[in-house]
Amino acid sequence: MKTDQVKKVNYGYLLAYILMPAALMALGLWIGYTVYEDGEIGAVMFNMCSFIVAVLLWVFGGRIVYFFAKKRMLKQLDGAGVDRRQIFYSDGCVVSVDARQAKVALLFFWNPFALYVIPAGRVTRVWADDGVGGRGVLRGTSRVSFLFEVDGAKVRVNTFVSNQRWKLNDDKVLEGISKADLWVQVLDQARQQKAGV
Amino acid sequence: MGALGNFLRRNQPDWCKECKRELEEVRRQLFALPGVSVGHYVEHTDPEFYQENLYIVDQKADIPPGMYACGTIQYRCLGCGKRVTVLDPFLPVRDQEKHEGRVVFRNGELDDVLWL
Repeated sequence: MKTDQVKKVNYGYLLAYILMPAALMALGLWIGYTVYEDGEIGAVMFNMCSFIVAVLLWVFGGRIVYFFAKKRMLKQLDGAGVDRRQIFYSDGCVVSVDARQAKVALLFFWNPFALYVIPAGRVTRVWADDGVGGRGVLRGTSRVSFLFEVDGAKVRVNTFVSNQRWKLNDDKVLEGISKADLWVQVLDQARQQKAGV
Repeated sequence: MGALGNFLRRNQPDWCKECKRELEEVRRQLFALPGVSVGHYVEHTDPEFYQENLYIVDQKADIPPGMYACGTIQYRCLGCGKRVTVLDPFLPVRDQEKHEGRVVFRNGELDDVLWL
C-alpha cells in the first residue's frame, strides 16, 4: 500500500499495455516469415494467432489486470485493518472510505499495481457532476460522476455512463445522481472527521 | 360509475372490491427507509420488514442522499370499514423521485405500526 502522492496513471504500464501486444504480434509475424518460409500451416498459425492474441490483450488485458487488482485491494485493506464496507467500484477507479479512521483507499485502472491509502484530509474538494447538456428535448446526460481533488489531481469516478444521452428524469440517471450525491456526502464526512469538525 | 369503470378500477388500491366504491383517504405519512440505500433496493411484500425499518420523517429534505423513503397512504371504506395501506417506496434524488412500485396491504397488517 502506498501513502505517497497519488498517481492516476502509471505511464510504464500504459506504454507496456500498448506496446507489448504489438511486440507479440511482431514476434509472431517474424517467426511465421522466417521459420516457415514456404508458408505452411505453421506460418498461418503464427501470423493469425499472434494477431488475435494481440487484439484480445488490447481489448481485455486491462480489464483482467484491473479485476485481479480489485481482488488484491480487498485483501490488502483487510490485512491493514482498513474498514472497506463503504466501497464504490467504477470503470476507472475504486474508492473506499473508512469513516472511523478517516482514510480513503484508491485504486486506478491505469495504475493497478499501486493501492493508495491516504488520510481523508488530503482530499481537498468533493463535488458531483450530472453532466447535463443539450437543450429542449435533447437535454440530458450520458455521464454522471462524483469528483474530488487529492494532491492537486482531479479524480473522476463515474456512477453512470452511457453511449447515449438520457433524460435527467430517467431511472438510471436518477440512480447515478443519487450515488454521486451519496459519495460526495461520504467523502465530505470523512474529510470533516479528519479535520475534527 | 358504470360496470366498465368498476371493472377497470377493481385492482386499484383505492377501490373496495366488496362494496364496489372508492375508498376514502384517511391520512398520509412520509417515512425513511434507512436500511435501504441506492442500488440495493429489493421489493419486500412482508409487513415485518416495514414494521422494523420505517422511521417517521416530517419532510423529504430530512432524508439523506442515497437513502430510500416510503410514502404511505391509508384508505378506509365508508361502506364496510375496511382499511387499506398503500406503501410507495421511492428514492429521493434532488428535486425528483425514482419510484419502485407500490406495495398494498389490504388486511390492516401495518395499522398498529404506522398509525399509532
